[in-house]
Amino acid sequence: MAQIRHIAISSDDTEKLARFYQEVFGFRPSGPTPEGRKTIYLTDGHVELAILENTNQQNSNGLHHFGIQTDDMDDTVDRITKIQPGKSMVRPQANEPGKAWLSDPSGNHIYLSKNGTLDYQPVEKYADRKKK
Amino acid sequence: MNQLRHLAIRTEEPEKLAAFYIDAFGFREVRDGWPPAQGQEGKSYHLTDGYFELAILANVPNQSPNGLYHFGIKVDDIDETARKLRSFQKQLQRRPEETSFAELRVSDIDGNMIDLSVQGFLDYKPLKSAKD
Repeated sequence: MAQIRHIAISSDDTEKLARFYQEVFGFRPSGPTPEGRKTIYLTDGHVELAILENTNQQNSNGLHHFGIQTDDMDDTVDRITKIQPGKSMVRPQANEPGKAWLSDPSGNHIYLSKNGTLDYQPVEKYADRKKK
Repeated sequence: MNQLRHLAIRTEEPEKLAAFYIDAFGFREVRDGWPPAQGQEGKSYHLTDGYFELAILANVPNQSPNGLYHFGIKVDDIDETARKLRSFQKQLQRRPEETSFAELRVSDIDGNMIDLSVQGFLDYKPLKSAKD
């Protein structure tokens, strides 16, 4: 089973944009910002909204990619390889076997993940963990 | 609770792109309850993983660039959401009552388009019974 669980937006002011989604829609932090970065991870409890730092203007601001969680990484990768033979897929094997980056036939970026982009703990648990 | 439930992609080849998501990820077409959008040419596809809708919109007249286009949030209270939005932006334009899709189209503070809907983007029937 494959599920869409992640939407990523690039922004050159991640804090301001995250505040917008928190204040208007009540989305909550889903994970810590990586050290030295400004990317902010929010969630509605099921789908993650990642607000990616674009402070160096590496990309256009705006919708950047989305993420699909799959139960069976190998089967999904095999299917995609058959559908798109010869199209490259970035699959870091060594330390992250459950992750892959690919593009659909129109070139939209997809982050494929076995474990998903949230840890599927209720958001409150993350908050509790943060207090400790 | 407000929920991310919808992502729309524009493409010149909706059939091919829909086939990719169906074949690669097992997404299914939401078959009922989707009259054509006003003024839309070409067939668009509305797929789902069972919870989240992936809309693949025909970009036949090339109204905008191909690619990730907007996402959708199902809101509990559209008036309350609109009130909160007005603290960030002055003008909100409601769609006509008879629109078959989201009731309100807004932008976040970076200009990313968001569809807001109380009805939601799927009919929320389990897919199996919807299909039956």
